Amino acid sequence: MARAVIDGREIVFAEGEKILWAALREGIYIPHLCALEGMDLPFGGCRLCLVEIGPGEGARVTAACSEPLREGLVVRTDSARIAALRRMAFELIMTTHEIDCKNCAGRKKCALIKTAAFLKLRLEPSRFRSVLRQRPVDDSHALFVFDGKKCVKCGRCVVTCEKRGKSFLTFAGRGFATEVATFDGLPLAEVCGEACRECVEVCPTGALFFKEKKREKPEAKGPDSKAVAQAGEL
Amino acid sequence: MSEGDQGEICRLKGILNGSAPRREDLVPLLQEIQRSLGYISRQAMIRVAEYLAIPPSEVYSVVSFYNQFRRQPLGKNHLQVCQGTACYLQGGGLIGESFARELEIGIGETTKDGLFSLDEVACLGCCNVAPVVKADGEIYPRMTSGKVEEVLINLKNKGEN
Amino acid sequence: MTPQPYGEDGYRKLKKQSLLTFKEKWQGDFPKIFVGTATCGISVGALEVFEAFTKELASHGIKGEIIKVGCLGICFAEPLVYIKKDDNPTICYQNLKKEDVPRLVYSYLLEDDPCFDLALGTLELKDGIPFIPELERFEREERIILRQAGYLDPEDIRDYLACGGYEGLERALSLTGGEIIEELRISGLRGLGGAGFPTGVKWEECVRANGSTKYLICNGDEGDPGAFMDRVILESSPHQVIEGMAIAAYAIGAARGYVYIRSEYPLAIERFSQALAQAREAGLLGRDILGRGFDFDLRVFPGAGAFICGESTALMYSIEGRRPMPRVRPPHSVLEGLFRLPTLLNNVKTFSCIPPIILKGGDWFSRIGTESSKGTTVFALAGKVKQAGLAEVAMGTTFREVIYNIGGGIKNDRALKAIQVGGPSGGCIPAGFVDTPVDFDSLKALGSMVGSGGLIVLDEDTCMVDLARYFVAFSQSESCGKCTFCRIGTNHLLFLLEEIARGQAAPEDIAVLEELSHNIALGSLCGLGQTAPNPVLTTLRYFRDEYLAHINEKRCPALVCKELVSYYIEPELCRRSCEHCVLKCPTRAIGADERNIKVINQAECVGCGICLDVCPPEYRAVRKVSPKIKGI
Repeated sequence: MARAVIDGREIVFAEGEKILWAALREGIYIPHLCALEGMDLPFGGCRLCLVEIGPGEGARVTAACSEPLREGLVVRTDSARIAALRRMAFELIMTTHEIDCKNCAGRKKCALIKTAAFLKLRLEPSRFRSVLRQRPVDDSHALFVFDGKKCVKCGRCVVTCEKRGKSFLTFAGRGFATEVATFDGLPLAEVCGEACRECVEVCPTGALFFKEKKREKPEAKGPDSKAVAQAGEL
Repeated sequence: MSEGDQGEICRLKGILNGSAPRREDLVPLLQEIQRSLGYISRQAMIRVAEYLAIPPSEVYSVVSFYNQFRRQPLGKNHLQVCQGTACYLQGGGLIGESFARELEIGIGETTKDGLFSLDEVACLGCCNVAPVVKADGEIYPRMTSGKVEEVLINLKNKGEN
Repeated sequence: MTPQPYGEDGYRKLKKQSLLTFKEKWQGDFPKIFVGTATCGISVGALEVFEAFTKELASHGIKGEIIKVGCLGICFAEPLVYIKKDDNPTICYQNLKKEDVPRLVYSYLLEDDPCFDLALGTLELKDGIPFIPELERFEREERIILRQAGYLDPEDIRDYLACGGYEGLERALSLTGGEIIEELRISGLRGLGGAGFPTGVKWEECVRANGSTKYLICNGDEGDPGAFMDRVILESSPHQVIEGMAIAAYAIGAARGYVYIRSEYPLAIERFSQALAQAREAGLLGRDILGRGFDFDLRVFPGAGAFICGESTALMYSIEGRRPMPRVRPPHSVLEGLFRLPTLLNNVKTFSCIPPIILKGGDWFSRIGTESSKGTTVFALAGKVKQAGLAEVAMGTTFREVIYNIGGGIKNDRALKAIQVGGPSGGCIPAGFVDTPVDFDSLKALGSMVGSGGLIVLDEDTCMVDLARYFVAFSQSESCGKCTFCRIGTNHLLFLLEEIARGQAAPEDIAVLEELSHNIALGSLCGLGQTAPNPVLTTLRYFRDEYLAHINEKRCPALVCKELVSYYIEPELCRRSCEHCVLKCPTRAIGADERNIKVINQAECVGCGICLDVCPPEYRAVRKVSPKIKGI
């Protein structure tokens, strides 16, 4: 066992352990969306888990999900620079996410609400306009529904499905137009006939959700995300 | 199944006939298919996936990533407006707009009559005669918006003769 | 020919034969005509010129040889032809058209008049021929990487062999891997793909990596929209890259390598593949190279159009047939790269430096350049410069020398406004820094980087907001989409810049633009995102007043941003009887008043600029104004 310091606290870790999981174990919360424990090559896309490593002025920004701890490493998760980066990353993600918590099946497990509460931010981005890409909801599958407007491209479903050797869900397109999609955009029911629910279970938002839990859409009402964000804080 | 489909399957079989296919052949195979068929059809992606024994979605994921791969056949005349830095600084942007206006299509689209496809490309390597447009392999040097109409008429006439 | 085991003897024989044929080629009894046929030449008619020479020589019954060569890097002069006749220095002819060929053949080859009016200069740096200057640019340049580009027939390995080719490999095979790496360390060579990481250190790390199977990759995915030197090297002197790679493979113990070339460079792929076949046949690739028991072979991998594939981990996924999204580091690819095995990746230019370093020694190389940046760098000179092309200069050469002495100065003798170095990942350096010696560190201090080596010369007609917007639009469209900052951040960055360019931004947007830029640079997963804001940050640093003019006055000082510019016809200058603009206007926005003076209906004008183009130069009645003219 070796020792390192996170936010001034000495912690003990095993060889090769990544900063994120060691910190969480020690009760130091670092926001994260895409990280899945046990991956030897993490996805590293959401950039919410950025931390600083190294001493003082020369500190370097890195992703906690992929940076292994080393003997004597000094990690900071609470600097002003990290706070600004987290806030920016979160705001950017929220400009591509449909904020409709009241009607969202994922609101109980929602990592975005949890992150907003932790960062003390509203769900609506304050500095940027919404750039949500409209996509139809795919409810063809017998067990679950995919709503791309809620998807934050964390890749957890893609990675999970790929690990099973199926890749029913994959990334399609490139850049800003990147989407989680099925082969050539076919309805889910046509490509995935399985009862495996892993993708739904790993989805951190309401993009993938089980059918039986889907609520009827009530009368059109504006989103009340502030209230939900506050609820998340409690 | 139409005759066109049969022809496509035949050509795909011709391309996908190696003895020990490896996943690293994926991009070169797709390039060969596009050379032969003009685009990458859904059928082609399925066949390639079977051939390499990988999920078809992973083929789709790769196809949809690269600029080179088209999901639709090209028009008869392929116009490529260079937007390399040298061309852009000397009016390449306006030239692209002029073509789009004249043809009444957007960048990356094909006219309804299938005559013209319009693309913007990064750099054609002819910075010395910027701005340039490439039409069916031929470079039109020192383009201006004013010459756009002329180029289109030229290409139409060439097709008719 | 069928492949045969040449071994060392076969190689010696071929080398001897090559020396003879090459000597004959340049010094033989009959005239030799060299035609530059890289993409740059072909695009402006080099092949037609080649055919014209063939026809003319035949019709006059002249005994002579017409030889295709690569690119000399003086692209502004294409199609470029050089003729070696008798003991005259080799004369270089510029912008030759097929119509010029009959006269040139008759006057110079049959008679003895070299047609000075068509000539650009002589290639050899010696006096003798009057009126044709030696090319100044070659005196200023220090050519290591481009040492043979334009002089050799890229389709014939014998040319390369005759000029010392593969002697670096020969020498390397008599050394140990450790000795080779030590030579590199002494040389001080830093990677020329952009990042400038010490090459010796990288090789050393790869040697130390666990595992007996190692890969070697040459990155030729030159995606920067203003850079073309890798293409020129691959098209003009492919063997120098093969030789450099073979030396690297021997040093690190790799048996297989890939050369990743973008598919937009079909000629480079064709010539490189041909060169590979010839090298294999000569026993310089394949099994038991030069009889020393060393096996190594190479494969060309054509890219499919994605700038991100210049990033090393994305490039490796691309070869593997996976979606080319860069991955997190560690592990670094020297330890875990292609197929998760140790992989050494270097750029085309870096590999090109290896053979001369091994032959002449690291000491020799380390004497070129500056304290921290050794050797040379190749710039692709373009934009508003008189003589665009490639320039290879020692590190530490100033921008002034590159732009004025090599590039001949600014087009139309206008004033230099700024220099954009490194393309979408580089930055804009204002004219005031024109005397800065160029190396890795001085550019970094200015907020830019050598990057791909694209060097775009900008004059007063360039709007810095528009330029930043152009590069961000490029990076945005080439983002792989994996990480938040690059996928979404560059999208907002572009939107903000578009708003500024349209005059729709508020003063406080500058602060958002700045913070967003800093965060994208700091928080992105890979080099593309980390450097994408550089064009914005440098223009904000040096040309903030231009941003403010767009925002506060709705004015584009360089008259570029379409939404802030109107076209206007000067009544006094308009020739009433002329109808050029009226007839050509695509939206029929131009009418005439009662005196038949043309007037643009601003509400109908789409800003295409055709009226400005077609207004006869003797009138020059159409001009651009900013801010926009309101109403009709």
